[in-house]
Amino acid sequence: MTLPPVENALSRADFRDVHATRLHGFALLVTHGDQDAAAHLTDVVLAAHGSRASVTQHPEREAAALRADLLRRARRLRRPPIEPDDRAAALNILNVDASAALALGALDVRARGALVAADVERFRPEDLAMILGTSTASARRAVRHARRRYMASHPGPLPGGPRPLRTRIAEIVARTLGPEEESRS
Amino acid sequence: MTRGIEDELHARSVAWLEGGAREEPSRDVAVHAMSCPECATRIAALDGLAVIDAGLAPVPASPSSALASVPIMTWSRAAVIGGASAVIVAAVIVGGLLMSYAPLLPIQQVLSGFSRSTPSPSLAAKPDQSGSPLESGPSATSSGSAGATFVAGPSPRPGGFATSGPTPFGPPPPTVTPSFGPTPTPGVTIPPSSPTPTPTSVPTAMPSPTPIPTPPPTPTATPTPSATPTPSPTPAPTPSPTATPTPTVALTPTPTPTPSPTPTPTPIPTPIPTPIPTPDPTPIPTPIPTPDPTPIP
Repeated sequence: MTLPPVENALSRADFRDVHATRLHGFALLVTHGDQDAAAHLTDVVLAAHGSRASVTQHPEREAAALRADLLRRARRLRRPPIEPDDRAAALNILNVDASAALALGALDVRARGALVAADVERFRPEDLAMILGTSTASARRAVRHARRRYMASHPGPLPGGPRPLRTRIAEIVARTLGPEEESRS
Repeated sequence: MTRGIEDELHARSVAWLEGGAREEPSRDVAVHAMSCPECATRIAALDGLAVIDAGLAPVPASPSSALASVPIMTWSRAAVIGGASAVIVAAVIVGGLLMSYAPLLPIQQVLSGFSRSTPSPSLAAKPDQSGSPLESGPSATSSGSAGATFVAGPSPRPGGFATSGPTPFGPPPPTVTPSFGPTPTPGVTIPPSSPTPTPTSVPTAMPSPTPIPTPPPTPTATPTPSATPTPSPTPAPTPSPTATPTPTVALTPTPTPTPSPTPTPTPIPTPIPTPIPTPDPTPIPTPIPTPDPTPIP
């Protein structure tokens, strides 16, 4: 079914509104804070997929398809190094602390994409497979490998700041050992 | 013993953390993760990812500015594409030059010469014929002029009559005629047919004797000769072409009459023998009645 021009234009605008911001955040992380490259990639990918807005699939699948396209283009992109301050400024907007930024910088584009899609955007394994262009099992392995490298490059905990995982583990320990043991540990 | 248990707990803790720490850990693993500095680093790394929010990104900048600062392609890729384009363009240019300057193959020359010459002879012949006796040809039923015209029609086609003289005339025309008979029909066929549709074949035979007396026309025929080689071998076909033309002539009867007279004279000798027998009797009489109406005007 072909939508009338006006509705089609509206759907394209909606499509952009729905996906643009988070896709741009994904692009900033994948390009490690290269704002120009991220903006370019986001715009190109949205333009390429926006023409199909009238036949859009499930939003999450479409989001995965957008990231797959963006990641493919980002891997082909060659960019000169950017200023550290510019990178830090771009990543700080997304709550990326210095340690995480340093560890993310140790990964290549594909590994960053896999890690961000899995641990930041929390895509399901099937969507991860689409983003990485592999099977689900291969996507799992790729994410695990990227996470291992990321952890190996991480300098360690920084004082202050939110610690959601540590808090969750502490809760489990408290239930196991009781309040006294938890406070002692 | 205790060391082994610690190693096992550490391995399980690391596996859980590297697996994303989504599911709930076992209590001993959780206790180990809280007390192990190495696992604490991993936990901090995952916490660093957990607090990142891609939705906090600003709306992407305008496409124009972003596009302006990002290279569309690398230099190496541009060089490859440019080189390929240059090769293609060069190939096209060279091919075009070769095509335009390359000498024609013999067969191409023959074909092109025929295709070009066929019309011209016919045109030339038409004027002559018309000039001479369009009417006389047909009306003349008299073997004389009419016969000449018919023979001339076929003979010119060979295009190579030139020096060969009378004998060659007969053969060459047929060779060519068959191949081009269909397409150039108007040029060649018309002349013969023009005289009279059906009787055409008959007259050809008849005139052959008569044309002999009319050598003067021969010079007019000379123009065509240059093209014609000396392919005398196809005398037999000559008649057949003439026969074939007849039908075509029937299609375009009117224009033909004029051209036939001029060229015919020379070729007459050869063709005459074969066709004569059958056509003579019947055609002669028939044309006479038919021409009557045409000549009258």
